[in-house]
Amino acid sequence: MSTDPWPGEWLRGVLDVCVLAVLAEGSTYGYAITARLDELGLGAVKGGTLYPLLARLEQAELVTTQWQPGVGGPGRKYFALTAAGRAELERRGAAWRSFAALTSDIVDPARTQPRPATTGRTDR
Amino acid sequence: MNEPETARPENLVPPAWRDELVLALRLRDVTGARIGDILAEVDEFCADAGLDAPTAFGAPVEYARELTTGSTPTRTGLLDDLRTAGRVLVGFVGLMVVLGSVGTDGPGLVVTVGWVLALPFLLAATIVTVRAAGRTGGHGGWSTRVTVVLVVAGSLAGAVTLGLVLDTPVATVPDGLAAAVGVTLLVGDAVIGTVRARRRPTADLVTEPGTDPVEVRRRNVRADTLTAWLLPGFAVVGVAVLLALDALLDRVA
Repeated sequence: MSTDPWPGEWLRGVLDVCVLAVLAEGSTYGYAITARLDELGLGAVKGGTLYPLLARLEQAELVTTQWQPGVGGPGRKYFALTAAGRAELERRGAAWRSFAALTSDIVDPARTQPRPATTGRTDR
Repeated sequence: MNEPETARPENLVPPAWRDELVLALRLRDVTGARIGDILAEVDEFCADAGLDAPTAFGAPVEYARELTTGSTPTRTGLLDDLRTAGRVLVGFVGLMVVLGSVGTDGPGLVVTVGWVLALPFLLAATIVTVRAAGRTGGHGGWSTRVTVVLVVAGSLAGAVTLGLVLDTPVATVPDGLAAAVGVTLLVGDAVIGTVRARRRPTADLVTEPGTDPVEVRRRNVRADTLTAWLLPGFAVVGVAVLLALDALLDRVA
C-alpha cells in the first residue's frame, strides 16, 4: 500500500483501466473497488472521483450495474464488466504496459548518465 | 471480498449537502430516477467508508458537474418552453380575470391597452427566465438563483407597470361575462392538465433504485394533477377573501 499519494494527473490517466482490472476480478461495489485499489497500492480513491468514472464506463457499455438490498443499511450498487469491457481492458492494458515500459526505460538512471561532451566537429 | 454490514448514513450526508446536490443535478436536467440513483450511491459509499459526503464527494455543484460532463444534454426546445409557458399563462389570465371581475367596483371589467400588452410581455419573460436558468447548468449557485428571482420580480413589476401606465380602455366586459370567461379559462386549463397528467405524466420525481415503477407513475399523476388544479384553488381562495372583505366593509359602512 502506498503512503504517499500518486500525482493526480497520473491517476487521471490510469484510473479507468485500473478500475476495469479490479472489476475483471469479479463484480463488486463502489467502496470495495476503492479498498481494492488502495490495497494494490494506488491509494484511496474518493467517491467523488470513482462514481463519475463508473458512470462513464456504464455509458460506454463497458460495465453493467445492479442494485442489491443492503444488510441493515442502504442497498449496494454492484458493477460488473461486460464483454466489451473485458476487450477494452485487454486493449488498454496492453497499451499501458508498453507505455509503462517505455517511460521506465526513459527515466532509467542507467540511461540518463551524462554523455561525454561533443565538440560538434568530426575529424576527417 | 468481505462485505461489511452497511450503516445508516443519516449523519454522514448533511441534508443541506443533499439538497444542494439535487438542485445542481436538476439544473443540469438529470432525471429524477438518476438523481435517486446518485443519492443512493452517496449513501452507500459514505456508510461503507465512514466518511461524510463533503469529504468523500467534495462540493455538490462540482460533483454534479463531474457526473454530467460528457453526458447527452436533455434540454427542451424553444417550442416546448413556449407551450409550457403558454399553458401556465392561460390559467394565470383566467385567475386574474376572475379576481378582477369579483374585486372591482363598477358595472364591468375594464380591459386596458397595458393589460393586453402585459400578456405577451409575461409570456416572453417566462420563457427567457426558464431558458436562462437552464443554460447556467448548475454553475451559478446562489448568484444564479438570485438572478432568476430578480428576473421574475422584474417581469412582474414590468407587467404591473404596463397595466398602470397604459390605462387607455380597450373594452369593458360585464362582470358576469368576465367571470364566466375567467372560470372557463381556469377550469379548461386544469381539465387539460389533468388529462395530460393521466395520459403522459411528466412530473419527474427523485426515486430510490428499486422503487416500484407503478407507484412512481401513480405519484407522477397525482403531482401533475395537483399542479393543474393549483390556480383554480387560488381563485377559490381569492374570491372567498374578496367577498369576505366586501361583506366586512359593507357591515362597517
